[in-house]
Amino acid sequence: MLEPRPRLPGERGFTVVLLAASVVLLVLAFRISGFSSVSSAGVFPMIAAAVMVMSLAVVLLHERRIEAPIGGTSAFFRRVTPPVLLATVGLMAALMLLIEPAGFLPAAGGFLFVTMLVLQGGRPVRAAVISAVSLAVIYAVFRLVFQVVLPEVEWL
Amino acid sequence: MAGGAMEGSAFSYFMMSWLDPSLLALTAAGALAGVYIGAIPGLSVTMAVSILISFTFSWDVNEALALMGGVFCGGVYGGSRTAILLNIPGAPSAIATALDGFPLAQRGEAGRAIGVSTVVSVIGGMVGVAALAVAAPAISDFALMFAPRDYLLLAIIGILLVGSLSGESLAKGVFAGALGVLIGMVGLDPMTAEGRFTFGQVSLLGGIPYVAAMIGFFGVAEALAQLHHLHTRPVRQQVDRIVPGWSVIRKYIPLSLRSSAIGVVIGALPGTGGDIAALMAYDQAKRTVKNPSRPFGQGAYEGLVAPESANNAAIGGAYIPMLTLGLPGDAVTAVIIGALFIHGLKPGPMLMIETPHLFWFTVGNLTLANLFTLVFGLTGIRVFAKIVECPRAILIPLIIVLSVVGTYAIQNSVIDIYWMLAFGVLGYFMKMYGYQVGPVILGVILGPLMDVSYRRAMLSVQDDPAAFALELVIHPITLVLTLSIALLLLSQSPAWAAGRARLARWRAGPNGG
Repeated sequence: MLEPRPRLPGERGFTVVLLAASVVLLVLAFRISGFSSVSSAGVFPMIAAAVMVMSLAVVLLHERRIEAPIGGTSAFFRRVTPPVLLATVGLMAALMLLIEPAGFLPAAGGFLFVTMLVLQGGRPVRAAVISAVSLAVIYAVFRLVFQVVLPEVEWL
Repeated sequence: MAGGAMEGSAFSYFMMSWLDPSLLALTAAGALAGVYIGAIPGLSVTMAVSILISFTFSWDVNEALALMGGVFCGGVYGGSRTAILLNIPGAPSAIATALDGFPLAQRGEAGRAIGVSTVVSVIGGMVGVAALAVAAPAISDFALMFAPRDYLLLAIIGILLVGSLSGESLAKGVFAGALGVLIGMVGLDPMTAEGRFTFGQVSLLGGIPYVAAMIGFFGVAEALAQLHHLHTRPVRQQVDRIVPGWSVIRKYIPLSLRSSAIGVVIGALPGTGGDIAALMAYDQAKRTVKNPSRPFGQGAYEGLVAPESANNAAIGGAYIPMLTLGLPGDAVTAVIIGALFIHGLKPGPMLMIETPHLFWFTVGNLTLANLFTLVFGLTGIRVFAKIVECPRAILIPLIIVLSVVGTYAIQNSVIDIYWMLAFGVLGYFMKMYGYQVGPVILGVILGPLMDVSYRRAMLSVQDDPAAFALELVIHPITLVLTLSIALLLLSQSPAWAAGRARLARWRAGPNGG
């Protein structure tokens, strides 16, 4: 067992969200087949969801005993979801939305270039060269050697 | 497995990857890639094997397993290199290695430390494979006596073990395991074809692709977590000659064998892997080695030998429950079980009877992968030093693109990529707040097995819960498993901790104050 660590900003909120989601899942599991039989399709999902609810209740009780973090919302955005993380997740979402309409090469190439630019804080030439070379290697290895089907559009 | 003809064919299956040039090349490529994957902080063996499944599912099963076996062996070893050279464990299984490995490098003994860790890693790996070859057939025969309720209990033990040993709290580990079980329940019920959590969506009838979940939890979540270490600068060390002398190796063989035994046992427990094995072996060495070369934590070779032997021995150990019971020994074998499912194979006691070639092929392939690890471990150190310093600003976008390619390749569906992103973000928050993601994947793999085992066990007693409860204590095998679960839960309770503290005070007596 590790030493107890101080509570992070947003930790209790995360537990509460998980607990609420687990309760909803428990209700949905009950709706599969109710208590019609102890070997029905819904019993094991109900057991799993109930275990989730109970274990999170224990986590929540434990968290009450740990001192609350200082700094509030700003500390959450600084320590748990810093701007670089939000930017990366946003760029990932953009990659997923664009991968089919734009095709793999432009979408992944754009993602690599912009993300490297953001993460290394500038140096566009270096980002462009590395993303072009790595995209060429990924395409050659996976499309040509492994024969993986990748989204492509007509104009390419 | 007895009989001369069977033994003869077992040997030919064992030699398959040694004699087939393409399998030989794939094992070598896997081991070489594994050394680098394990070494580069931010890349993990689990992540690599998850992504590899999606690229190799159309291959012949032997080719896919050869590549994954090589990556697994090379990867577990590779983590030690960066632990010694940069003080950054490349993999969780190398955390204990850094404790004495980096002080050794600071003393100017990095080359010797790498050489010793390579050789003892291979000794550990070979002990693990030998244990697999000897124990698996016996366990498999024994496992034929297991009833569905026993599989249910074994799966629960696996999730409890990984939840309690590798995380900061049992409750969080249990939650993660149950979440995985629930993810594994999505789709049509295999026994009654009723929809579960499908919300009327056709795309959910077949369930959530577990490869998307694996890549999300192990690939994307880890990449996002690495954003916090974007500007961590490694402390580089000079490396001299790395091939160690025989006298040095001979000195550490007894400790290496002892630690390997710990590695095999811990690896073979469902749910626990090389990281826990390495920490336990380090702790055992610290308590039992009377005259270490230097004090532990200040560059003791014993502190390097113990974890490195144990984490590689855990590989063979982890394959034992995977091949004989269909229960993953650790996160990587959970992913490899996924690969076997994709290839239409069902790991469990019948696998050894129906496809013995696969077992002996695996044993031969892991032996070969260990030899390649020895070769690649003792060579190419200068190129290695350059590659492992790849900045995270370049590595993280590449991991994400590879994760997207890997997820899309499963069934050419963008929806799978959405799942992967969702699991990646969830996995990131779970990691941040002290939840392990390993139990989630164990749950995803074991969930359907637990569900079917539970319902078969219930049906066998005509849906009578009292009779089911009685079954848990009247059969010897089931009783042992039930008691193990009770002990596991008890050992995590506050009452147990208080009892241990009282016992320690009593043992200390008047001298201990």
